[in-house]
This record gives sequence, structure tokens and C-alpha cells, in this order.
Amino acid sequence: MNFGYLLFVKTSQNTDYLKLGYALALSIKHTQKPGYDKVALVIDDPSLLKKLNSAWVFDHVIEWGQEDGWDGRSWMDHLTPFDYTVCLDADMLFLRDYSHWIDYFIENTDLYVCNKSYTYRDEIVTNRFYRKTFVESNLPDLYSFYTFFKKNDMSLEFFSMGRYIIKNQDVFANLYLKHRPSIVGTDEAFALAAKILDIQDQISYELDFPKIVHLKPMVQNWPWQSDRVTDHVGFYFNEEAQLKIGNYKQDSIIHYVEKELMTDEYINILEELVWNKN
Amino acid sequence: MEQELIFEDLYTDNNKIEFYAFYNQTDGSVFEIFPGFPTNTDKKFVKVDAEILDSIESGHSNIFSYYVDIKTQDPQLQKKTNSNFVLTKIDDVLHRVIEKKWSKIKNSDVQIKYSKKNEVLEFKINPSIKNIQWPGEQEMIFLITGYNDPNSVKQLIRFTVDELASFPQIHKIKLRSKFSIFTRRLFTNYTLEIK
Repeated sequence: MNFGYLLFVKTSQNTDYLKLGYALALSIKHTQKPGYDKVALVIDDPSLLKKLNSAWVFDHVIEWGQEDGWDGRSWMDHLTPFDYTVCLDADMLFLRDYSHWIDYFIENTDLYVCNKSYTYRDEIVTNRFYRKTFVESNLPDLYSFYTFFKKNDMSLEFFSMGRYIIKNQDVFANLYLKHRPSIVGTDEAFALAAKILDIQDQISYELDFPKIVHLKPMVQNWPWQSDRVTDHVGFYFNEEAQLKIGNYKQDSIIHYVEKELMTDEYINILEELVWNKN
Repeated sequence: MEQELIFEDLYTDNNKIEFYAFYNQTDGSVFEIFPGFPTNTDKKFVKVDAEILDSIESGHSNIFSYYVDIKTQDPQLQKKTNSNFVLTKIDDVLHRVIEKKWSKIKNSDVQIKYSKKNEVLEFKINPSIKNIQWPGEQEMIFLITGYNDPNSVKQLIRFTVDELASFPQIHKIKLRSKFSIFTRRLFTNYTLEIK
């Protein structure tokens, strides 16, 4: 089985995305069993890998900087070195073995895009604060932060449409989006592509997984407004790479959003665990 | 013909009961709302207007949603807005002291050192702020816990700012190789050094 996770990072003045991707790759190596722990990195400047203590956690490094920002993710089908791929956002963290999800996807589907997220208290996110475009434009509620696909005609057609939408976003936004975002991002492009191709029920049907805790502040079901989750609850990552947020132990994949949460101290914990495992 | 007494007649404008609110003279916080003009009291009070009363009675707001603007000549009840709200961040009440090797803080206000060899935990204040008079809270509380786990408290250490300014605080304590120290943040910067 040629399965792996695909991460995109791009040089940025404000955020060290390679550091975030490195932490995610370490957490994958630490928690996933052999055969389910391969990671490929797409990066515009591979020379930056020299600064990492264990760059070997990236099984494949693909130099590519063709698109600005996160638009590159719509090229995931072209860039992946795997037959079966899950494309992830860089600011995520694995906390336990999720390989049974992969077994299901390989067995049952060609393409699956996550369609819900969870609060740190394991509640399904229902707040639409960040999803006004989806609600008002009646788009399927897709989250590109966890996208499974096989290399085949269906995924080629879907991602080609996604790329076409991103390239021609003014036209598509005028035609289809009632609440127009400042940028048509990958989530909106994938949702529009699914709607136009009429495949939303095939690629994003109801499942209890993948479970992703989305730490955006306004969707935590708090009775107050918030700018940052960590203003209100602590982020406690222990020496066994187990995580508590407030008093809630986390088991799902964490999409931590606040980039500064991934400190060198936590990366060192992950590095030691991975070194001891090998 | 017998005159019908209608209950609502009692509440004509002439008979309407006025409500008043007692408030704290120093910060303007409201602590009681009551009917009838208060007599024989030293407490400060203001009249509560009908709109606010309706809002409180109907449950749309409560008395803590209001304050008295004590800076004005004619103090009135005001609704608190976001500009009045000061967020107490979790990091201010349960701040983890970051180990020096992972911290970007160069010149901390409070330095904590742990000697594994001597099993001694030492707290020192930065000499440059030693003689400053600190208003407000004086008690410094440190939770010695499992690594990055404030729920697993091994020991609690307390002293005052004055005590720390007078002498370094030294505690004999045996700790695991990995531990954390949490504190409420009276000062801005704290560092921990383990040797």
C-alpha cells in the first residue's frame, strides 16, 4: 500500500510554516503505525530543511512554489508521490493512531473531504461565524484541512475544477457566492467544485470521522466573543505528547490555528519521542 | 352603579413606584436595586429608569450589566459595553514559567532556579525592581506541578513580594526531572532555570 500524508508549506515573513509542518510530521511518526506514517512535504525552498534536527521525518520533499499562499493545495493530486493521500494543513497535530480511518477510506471511497469539525470539548461545531459564505451561498460545508483522495479520474476532475475556480475566482464568486469572501480559498473552491460537479454526496457523506478539533475562537460554543482560544483555556502538552486543552484531554487531530502555540519546547518533546521510537 | 376597581389603576403615573440602585462609591459597581426612595442611609444611590428596570425584570440584563459613571457631576446608571470589559487571560492567572532554554525573555522580573544536585528551589527578584513599591496584590503563589499539567500539583509555595524583595526565597524540595511551575502573574516576566 502506497499511502501517505501530504503537507504544503510556503515561506512567509510572519509565520514559520516549515516549523509547524515539521511538528506535524513528528507527531505523525510518533503516533501512526508503519505503513501509515509516511509524510511528503511540498515546499518552495527545500534548503530551509537544513535547520531541522530530523528532516528525515519527511519521506519525500517536493520543491514547488508555483502558486501564491495556499492556492497550491488545489494541486495536491499532481504533486503527491502516493497512490492514496491525505492532504493536511500544516498547523495540525496528531495525538493517537488514526490508521483505521485510512483503511476505511481506501476501501470505500475515491475522494473524501471533511465536512465537520469539533470544539475542544468534543462538540460538533455548529456556529457559522466563519462560514457565512457557505450558509448564504448554500454550499456544502467542506473543510479542506483533511482531504483524502486516490489518484484517479474522479479526483483529477474535482481538483481541476478547484484549480479553475481559484484561477477565475472573480467570475465564480459573482456567479455563485452571495456573501463574497475577500479571497476564494481552498475550502470555498472545493465546496463550489463539489456543487458544480454535483458530487457532494459522494465525496462528503456523513461519517463519525475524521475528527478534527478546530481551535478557531468563535466556534467553541462559548457565551462570549473571543479573539484567541488560549486567552480563555490553557494548552497543556506533556512529555508524552498528550494534550489537554483546559481540563479536556484531546484525542482527535488538533487544528490549533494559533501558530505560536507550536514552540521549540514542544518540538523537542516530539523529537525525543520519535528518536526513542526508532 | 358600583365602580369597578381596575388593578392597573394603581399604577398610573402618579402612583408609579420608583426604583433605586445602591452603588459602590469607589468603582461605580451596582450591588442592589430596590423599590421606594431610600431614607436613613449613607449608601450612594441613583434612580433606575423604566427602560433599565424593564430590561432587568424581563431577564434581558442583570444588575451586573450596569455601572454608575462616578466621574460625572450627575451620576447615572450606564450599561457596560465591551470597552468597559477587561479580559482576564488564563495566562495571567495560571501562567506557566517557561524554562530559560526555551524562553526568549532576557531580563526576567522573577528568576527561579532549581538545583537537582542540592534539591533546592530558589526564587529571586530582579535587583532593578527590588525597591519599587508594588500596589495591589502582594501574595505570590507558585504551584509546583507535573510537567505542563496544572492539575497535578506536587507542592504549593507562597510568600509576599516584600519577602522576596528582602531575601531570595529558598526551598528544599526534591523534584522529578520534568516538572513545571505555574503562578498568577503579578510580574510580567518569569524564568526557570534547571541545573
